[in-house]
Amino acid sequence: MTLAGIAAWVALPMLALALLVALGRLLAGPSLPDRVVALDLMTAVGIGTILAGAVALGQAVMVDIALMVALLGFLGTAAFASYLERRG
Amino acid sequence: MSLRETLAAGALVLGSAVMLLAALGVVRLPDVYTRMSAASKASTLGAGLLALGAALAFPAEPVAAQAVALVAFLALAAPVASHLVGRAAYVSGTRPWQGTARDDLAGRYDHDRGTLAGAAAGAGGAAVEGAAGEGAPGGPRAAGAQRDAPGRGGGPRVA
Repeated sequence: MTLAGIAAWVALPMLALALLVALGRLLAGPSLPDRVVALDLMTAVGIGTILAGAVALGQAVMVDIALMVALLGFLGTAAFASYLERRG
Repeated sequence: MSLRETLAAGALVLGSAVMLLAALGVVRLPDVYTRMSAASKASTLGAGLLALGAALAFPAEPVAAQAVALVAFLALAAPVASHLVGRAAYVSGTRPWQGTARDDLAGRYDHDRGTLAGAAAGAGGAAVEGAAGEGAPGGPRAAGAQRDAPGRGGGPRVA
């Protein structure tokens, strides 16, 4: 296995831990904006997980998926922000 | 064990460490606005470093162009998303932390009517827009909040 592949296998548990910690804020967050911020962070960590998985598995196609998740995640955050604002 | 491999490994580990730190910040920091500051750094710096690592790890394929597109999109979208969520949080009445040093809209933003008190005292909305153009502190947020007065916010002018 290449050095970058080993580094990706080191990065994946850290990203999983980050996802779990952000999930804690998503479940605990006192207000709705807190949960939206936690969900936004979980999308970013998901993008990172896909990129690290692409290196770990040697699949270059997965970078395309990361790009799509980034586009959809921004749309989701913008929709949540619009909902928060209209809800008052 | 080339230099490219070493740089890719370093970028991957550093990017995931930044993401872990951002997740800890989102849990530990006291209010929505400081948490948002930590989270938006994760999506630009952390994902950017991981994209750099992926681009360096796949040399022969056109992954580098995709990684550059991903980083450019994240650098454009993450500040916009943070601004949208922050404005929505303030408009929907989330109070900043007690230790916040300054809040330029404190006492000026009417949460019931969705208007700014200072905007009516000046020469209408033009004064607020002008102050925002000069880069006054809190100017862009004041202009954004004032824009809510006639109807719905979050229109295309936000971007």
